Amino acid sequence: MNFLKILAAVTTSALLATTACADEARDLMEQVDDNSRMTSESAFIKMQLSTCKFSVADGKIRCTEKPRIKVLETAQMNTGPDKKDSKSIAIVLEPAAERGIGMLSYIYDDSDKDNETWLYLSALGKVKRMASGNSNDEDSESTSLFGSEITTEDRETGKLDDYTYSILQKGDYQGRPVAIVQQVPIPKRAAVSDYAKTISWIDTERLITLKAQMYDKNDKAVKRMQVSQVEEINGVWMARSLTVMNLVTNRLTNMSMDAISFDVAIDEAFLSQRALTDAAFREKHLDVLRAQTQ
Amino acid sequence: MNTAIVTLLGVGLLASSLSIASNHDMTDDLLLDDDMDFLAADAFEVVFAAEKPPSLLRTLGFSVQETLGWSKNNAALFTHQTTANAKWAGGLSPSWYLEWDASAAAQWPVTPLMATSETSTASEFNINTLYVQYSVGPISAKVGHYSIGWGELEGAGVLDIINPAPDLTQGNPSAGDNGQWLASGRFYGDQWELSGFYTIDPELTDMSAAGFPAPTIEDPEWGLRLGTQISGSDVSLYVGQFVEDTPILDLMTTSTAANSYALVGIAANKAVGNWLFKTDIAKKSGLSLYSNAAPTLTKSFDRVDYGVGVEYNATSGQQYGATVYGRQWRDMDGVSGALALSMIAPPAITPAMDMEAGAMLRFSDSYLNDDLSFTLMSTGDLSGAMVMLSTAWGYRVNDQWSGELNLTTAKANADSMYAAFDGEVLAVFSVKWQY
Repeated sequence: MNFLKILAAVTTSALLATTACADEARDLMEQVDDNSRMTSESAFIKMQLSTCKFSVADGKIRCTEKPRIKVLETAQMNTGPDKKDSKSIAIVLEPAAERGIGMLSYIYDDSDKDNETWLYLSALGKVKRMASGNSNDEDSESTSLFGSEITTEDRETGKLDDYTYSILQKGDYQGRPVAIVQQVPIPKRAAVSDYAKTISWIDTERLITLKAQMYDKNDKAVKRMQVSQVEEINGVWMARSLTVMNLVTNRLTNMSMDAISFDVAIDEAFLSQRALTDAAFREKHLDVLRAQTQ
Repeated sequence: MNTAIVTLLGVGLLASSLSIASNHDMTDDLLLDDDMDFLAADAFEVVFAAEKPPSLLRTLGFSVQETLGWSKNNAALFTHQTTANAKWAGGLSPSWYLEWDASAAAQWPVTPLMATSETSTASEFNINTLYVQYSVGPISAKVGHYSIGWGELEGAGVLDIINPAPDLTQGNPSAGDNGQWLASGRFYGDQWELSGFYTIDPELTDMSAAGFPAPTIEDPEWGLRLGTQISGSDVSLYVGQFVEDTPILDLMTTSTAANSYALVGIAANKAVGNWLFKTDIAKKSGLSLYSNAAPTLTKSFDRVDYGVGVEYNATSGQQYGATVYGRQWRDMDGVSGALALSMIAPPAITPAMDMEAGAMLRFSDSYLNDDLSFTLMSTGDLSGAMVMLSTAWGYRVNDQWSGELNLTTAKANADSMYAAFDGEVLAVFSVKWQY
């Protein structure tokens, strides 16, 4: 009888502690997610995607080949019930050979609804729907952003119920107060995710991820994300530079945001297939957005 | 007893903490920088900013391409071409947009595929794209030289028939300009779109290198498309009048013919997770072949074209695709077996039976980066008189350099009209430098 009491007490206390830790981690990630949504609310960003193979030597990370560089303009707004869905468009500005190629994405918070992505292929003169993956379907995986190492899963917001969270450690990291949070997908999500586990270094004051490391099902680190140039823009902290390193292929992509503007007036009609096929319509709306950009 | 329970709770908390701490594989303090951490001063955007090309080349595209084509049966080069290309696109005013893409090509002396004498150096200038687009309210209008894509199945010829095929006598299915002079308009509704085009001077596949004159075309081409989006799916209806992109040939009279025909069709896709399913169906009425009654007369008949395709995103950036398609000919009585000359122009093959079929397999990684792409295409008539297999490999070394290799092989029965093409292998290699 005493043994059962002792066992129950130990189990209960361990469970309470774990639950409290999980609740704190979940609360923190909800705040980070809310902050991330604020950066996508009526946002217009000019960014550069640079991709290369890399090596590490003498404590430095260096490209071992001439990087491929794309300059994009993206517009995004939150839509739908409770602004949980989002519509976004990305248009290639450079290289000139790919100028005008566009990608339109509708992301739905409801995991029962397929996300949708279309590309405009100027050489063929047509819009092409992409099999962009549905996070609720088995065998579904994420889509690369214009051939870079950054995938839609790396940039995803919401779907917090698809993961369990725990805080591994707290302290200072590169001069910032951080909580190191482990994120593990629930079985339904694990079946469709690229990652079996993600460990994130969360700035607990600015509510952004400073660093993240992703692991495969064999617990091997497969990808790493790191940010720099953290700035407060329109009252929201965000990183102007994000680098994703694929530790399997040794390729990295740096996303550098040259111009950012939040709370710009975006006509929802702009975030439609018309912006892909009607270049005059697209340029007219982009000019309006460029005029509002810092 | 209470003290014991408090102690045990403490043990439980400690056990819990140890459990959490051992739930990851990092033995070091996670707060310490590791050798792959970098600070803002070491950030990559500084490095990459220096890699950008000069400002002029960021908006003005420029490329130079060298192409070599070799024929096994002729044991000689049949094409050697150097092409320089420039392009620009941008808004002219809030409602006007201009895009142009022009190239100049020099063809060096080689043994032509269809002749024995050597040609001299030649040059040509091509406008690949030149259009202005105007947008007001829900309407957009576009006039100039450009491509329009119809249907879901690229390359199957079911509905993607508006643009003339490239110069297939060069043996390179991806070479050349494939737009034409068009006027088109679109009306954008909520979740639907109506578009149409018109051209008074339809362009056809260039067969001049084979020594055949271009046919006289008397009818214009026009078409209408009504498209709508249903969650996870796009559906389009088509109607139009077209002229066959590849003229039919008659070696006896060295004549060509390209008459107009009517088309009705439907195309649809459906995305399910990482799968995309596609289908095109078209009925073409009024197509022509030479009649048995007289070599120079053509007979009208109908054909139903259809195809299905599937694409799969295997992992990030990797795509697999497969397409099968068929053509069902109707009312073939009284049609002569007019010879089809070009072994590399599948639509020109006169059917020995009343059905043709083909299949394509595609693989690529990094969909827009073209790091590596591969296409395998098989086509031929179902009698087995000839089966053609073509493959294309593309590889982009970096933003500036890329290469492509096309191989086409044919196997033909010795007693068929295609006997001369048995065992032929055409190889076309191109290397391209671009900004």
